Amino acid sequence: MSDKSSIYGVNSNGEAILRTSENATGERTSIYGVNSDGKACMRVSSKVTSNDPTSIYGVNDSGEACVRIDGAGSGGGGGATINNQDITVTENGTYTPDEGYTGLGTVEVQVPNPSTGTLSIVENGSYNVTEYATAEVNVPTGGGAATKFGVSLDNLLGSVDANGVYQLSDAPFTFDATSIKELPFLSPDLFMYKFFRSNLTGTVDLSNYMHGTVNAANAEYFTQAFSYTGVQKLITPREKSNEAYAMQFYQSFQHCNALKEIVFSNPIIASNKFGFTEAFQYCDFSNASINFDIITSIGPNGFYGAFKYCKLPEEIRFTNLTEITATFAFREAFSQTTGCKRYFFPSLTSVTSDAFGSSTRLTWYNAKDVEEIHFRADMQATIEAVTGYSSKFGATNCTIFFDL
Amino acid sequence: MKTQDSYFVKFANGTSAWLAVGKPVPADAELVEVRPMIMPDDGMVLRHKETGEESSGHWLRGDDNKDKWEEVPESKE
Repeated sequence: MSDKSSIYGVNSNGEAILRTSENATGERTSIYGVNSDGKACMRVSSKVTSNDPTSIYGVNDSGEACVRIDGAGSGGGGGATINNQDITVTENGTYTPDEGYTGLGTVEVQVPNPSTGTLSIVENGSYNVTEYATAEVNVPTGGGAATKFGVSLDNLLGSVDANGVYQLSDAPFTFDATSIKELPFLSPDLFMYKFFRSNLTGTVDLSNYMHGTVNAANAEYFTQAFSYTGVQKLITPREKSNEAYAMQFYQSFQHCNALKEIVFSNPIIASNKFGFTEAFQYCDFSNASINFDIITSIGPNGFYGAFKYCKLPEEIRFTNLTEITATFAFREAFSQTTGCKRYFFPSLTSVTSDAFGSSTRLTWYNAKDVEEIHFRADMQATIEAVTGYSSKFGATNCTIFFDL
Repeated sequence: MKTQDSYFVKFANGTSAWLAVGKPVPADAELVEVRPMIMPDDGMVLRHKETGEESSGHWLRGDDNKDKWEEVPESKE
C-alpha cells in the first residue's frame, strides 16, 4: 500500500473499522469497512473523472467485490440498475411495478374519502350525492306543497290535484309557523293562496319568516292564506321584512273572527306590492289587542284598506309612527269601521300628499264612530295640505286636534 | 245636501283643533275660523261636478262653493 495514503477509523480498542485510500494518480477514492480480521468487507469507491458513477461494493473474504450498486453495470458481479416507476393510485389495492422497472418510485394516492351518511331528498331536483353512502328519496306525490316548511304538513294540508286545485285536509290542526323562513308555493306567483281552512286555530307566528325567493316581484306570498280560519294570534314577520317584497298579506286574515291579538314585529311596514292591503277586513277587534307601537314607517300600500269593515277597539295609537311617505300607505286603512273613537299620532312628522287616500277612498271614510284624531301641534300646516283634509279624511263628524 | 258650520279653534296652551260639525267652541278655546261644510243626505255622497271627486263631507274654502257639488247615491261595494 505504499502507493496509497490511508486514513483509518478506529474503535475504542484501537482496531481499524474504517479505512480510506486513494491511488497515486488520485484516480479512485475508496472508503473500506474493515472487519475484526482487518479485512475489507465493504467498499465505497468512485472515479474522480466524470461520467463514472459512484459505486458501493460488498466485498467477500477474498477482498473481491461480490455486490455492486452503480449506474453503469460494469465491474464486479451482482450489479443492479435502479429504474423506479412513478404511478398514481386511484383505488384501494396492491400495486407492483410494471415489467422493466426495478421498483416503485413516487406513488401519488388519489383515493376519494369513503362516502358516508345519508342524503335526504324531499324535493325533485338535481343533487350531488358523491359524498353520501346512500340517498333517501321521499318526494311527496300528488303535488303536495308543504315541503319547504321544514315542518311536515303533508297530512294537514292535503294536496293539489292535476288541475292545480287544492284538496285540503279536513282534520283540525294548529299551525306552528315558528320555523318558517320561506314558503311552499302553488305557482311561482301564488305562494300560499287560500292555503288554510277554518279548522286552523291558535297562533300564526311568522316572526322568523323572511320571504320567498321565487319571482319575488310578482309574488303574492300570503294572499288569503289564513282567511276564514280560526287563527287567534298573529305575530308578523321580523327578519328582513324591511325589504321590498317581504310583506305580502293581501286579504290574508279576512273574516278571522277569532283573531284577538296582533303583534307587529318589525318597525317598517314595507312593500312594493300589497303589504297588509285588506289583510284584516271584516275582523272583530273590539276586544282585541293590537299594538302598533313598534311601527315607525309605513311603506306603499302598507295598510291600504287593512282594517276596513272591522270592529275596532275604542282607541288606537301609533305611538312611534314618524312617517307615512308612500303612496296609499294609509288609504282606507280604517274605512267603514266601527267602535274606534280616538286615533293618536304623537310622532308623525312626515306625510305625503296622498298618504290618507283621496275622494271616498280616505283613511276613515264612513268610519262613523270616530270622534277624535290627534296629531302633533306643529303638524297643522302639513296635515291641512294633505289630500282629503277638507273632508277630515272621511271622518267628517270628528274633531281633528293638533295638540300632541 | 246641507251646509253646516264647524269651528277651528285655538286653546290656551297653544294647541288647536278643527271641531266636529255642530260642536260648540269650548270655553277655554278661542275661535279662529268658521268652516262651512257641505254634507250629503243619508245614503248619498257628494260628487264634484267637474272633477268627479266624491266625498262624504266637504269643507268649502277658497273659491269652492256648494254649487260645484251634487249628490249621488252612495255606491255599494
